[in-house]
Amino acid sequence: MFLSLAPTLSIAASLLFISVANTQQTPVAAPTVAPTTAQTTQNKSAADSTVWKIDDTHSMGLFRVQHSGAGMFWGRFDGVTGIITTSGIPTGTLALDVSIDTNSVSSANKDLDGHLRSPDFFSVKEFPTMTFVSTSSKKLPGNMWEVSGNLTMHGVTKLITTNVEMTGQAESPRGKKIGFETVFTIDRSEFGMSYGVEKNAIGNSVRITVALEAGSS
Amino acid sequence: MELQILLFGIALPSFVGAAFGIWFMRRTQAGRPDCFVGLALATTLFLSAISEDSLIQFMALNRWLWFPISMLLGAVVVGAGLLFAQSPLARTLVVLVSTISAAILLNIPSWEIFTNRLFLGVGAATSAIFLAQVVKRRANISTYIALSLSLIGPSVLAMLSGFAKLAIPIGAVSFCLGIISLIHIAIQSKSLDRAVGLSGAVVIASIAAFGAATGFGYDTTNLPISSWVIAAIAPLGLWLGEFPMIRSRTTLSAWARICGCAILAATAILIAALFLSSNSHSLSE
Repeated sequence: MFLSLAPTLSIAASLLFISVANTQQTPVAAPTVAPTTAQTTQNKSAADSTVWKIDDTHSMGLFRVQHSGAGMFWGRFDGVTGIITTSGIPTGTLALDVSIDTNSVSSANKDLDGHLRSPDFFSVKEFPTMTFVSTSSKKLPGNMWEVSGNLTMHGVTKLITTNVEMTGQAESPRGKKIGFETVFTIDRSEFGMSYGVEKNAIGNSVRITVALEAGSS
Repeated sequence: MELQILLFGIALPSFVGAAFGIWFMRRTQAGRPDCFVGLALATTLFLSAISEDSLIQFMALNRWLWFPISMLLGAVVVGAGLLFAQSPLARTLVVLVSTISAAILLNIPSWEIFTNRLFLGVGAATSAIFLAQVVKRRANISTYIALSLSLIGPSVLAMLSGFAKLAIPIGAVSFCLGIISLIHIAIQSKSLDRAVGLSGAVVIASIAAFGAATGFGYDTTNLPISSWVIAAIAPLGLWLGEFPMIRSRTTLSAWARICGCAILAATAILIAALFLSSNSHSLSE
């Protein structure tokens, strides 16, 4: 009987070997990120820099993608947290370290939210956060900065560059506040999120808007 | 667009699987026709799954693809094992080894702990062994139809939880069994009578169990666990036709098998749908 089971056992042993390798598999590691602008800024002019903590109640991420080749579908993320480091506003450098809770995705439709959280899209159980960590910034005219950094989403990290606008700065009884906003576009298939792209059911190009409000800590 | 999903996600894989299964069954030597039909069904699942997602970097980015891959490899193990296993004990061991091996490969969220996957494999093997008893005894068209209906349970639950990429491949296997049923009706061939066989029973029981486990693992809508469990054991609804009062009456037993699988699948869907509708209601309030 054992001889008759030999082929089965040998294949099973191979599967077990694969399984062990699979168990040791770790998600795609984000490439080592160079020291952030925040760190650089702090080294150069620690006295000038201000660290702002993002207010998750008044910050959000919005995305817009084409559905069925026709209308634009909007969704939002509410769980936006992180740190903004400024140096010499309004002329100095800007550093962003932003994290978004993917489970906070919302489309105002419960069924669609479940679909967005599934492996068809954000796969929130595997990838609970998406992050943006800036690596450099360049001051532009007005209240604008050109910020480059690593965007990690769905287990994939890509370098992106976007223009960030300072929307306001104020003092309130609760302390200093500052606001920023940025709009950029990505191809979601580059981040391994390609459900509906080939069938043209849902667009590949996604316009993302991130609005941040932060308080000095 | 929906037409493309139907074509590449369901129709083509199902027809390939049905043709593959019937060819296997007709070509295999007499008396041993149940070795590779499971492989044909697993191929349907795999082809449909890869029409939905890329195998590139699947270990890190699309880990749910471990489900169709483990089913395919498990089907190879059970098919190869049944070619050589002669005694009932050896065949049982083949079933155990193939399902447990497939379960161990299923490294997806909520199933990261090795012992949990081991228990899942043992559960699927137990389900497969029970299923095989009826499949062997009742090798006819009602079995195909019943098993086809049973897989609608995990497929619809996956869809309700928002996981379309999982729902489509399981639905394709269900459709494949439906096609085999139609061919069976059309050609009335005796050689199709054992088409499901032991390998088919193992793969169908595993697809129901592991498909439900995968859906549960990725579910963020918090569907009741009872719905997933009932969907996982839906193929065992075949046993309704084996009740003492029914089993000796051929037609009644056939209808009971079909109804048994349909009732289990429908119960799982109903529990999930009621849960979702009650949640939506409370939100609107």
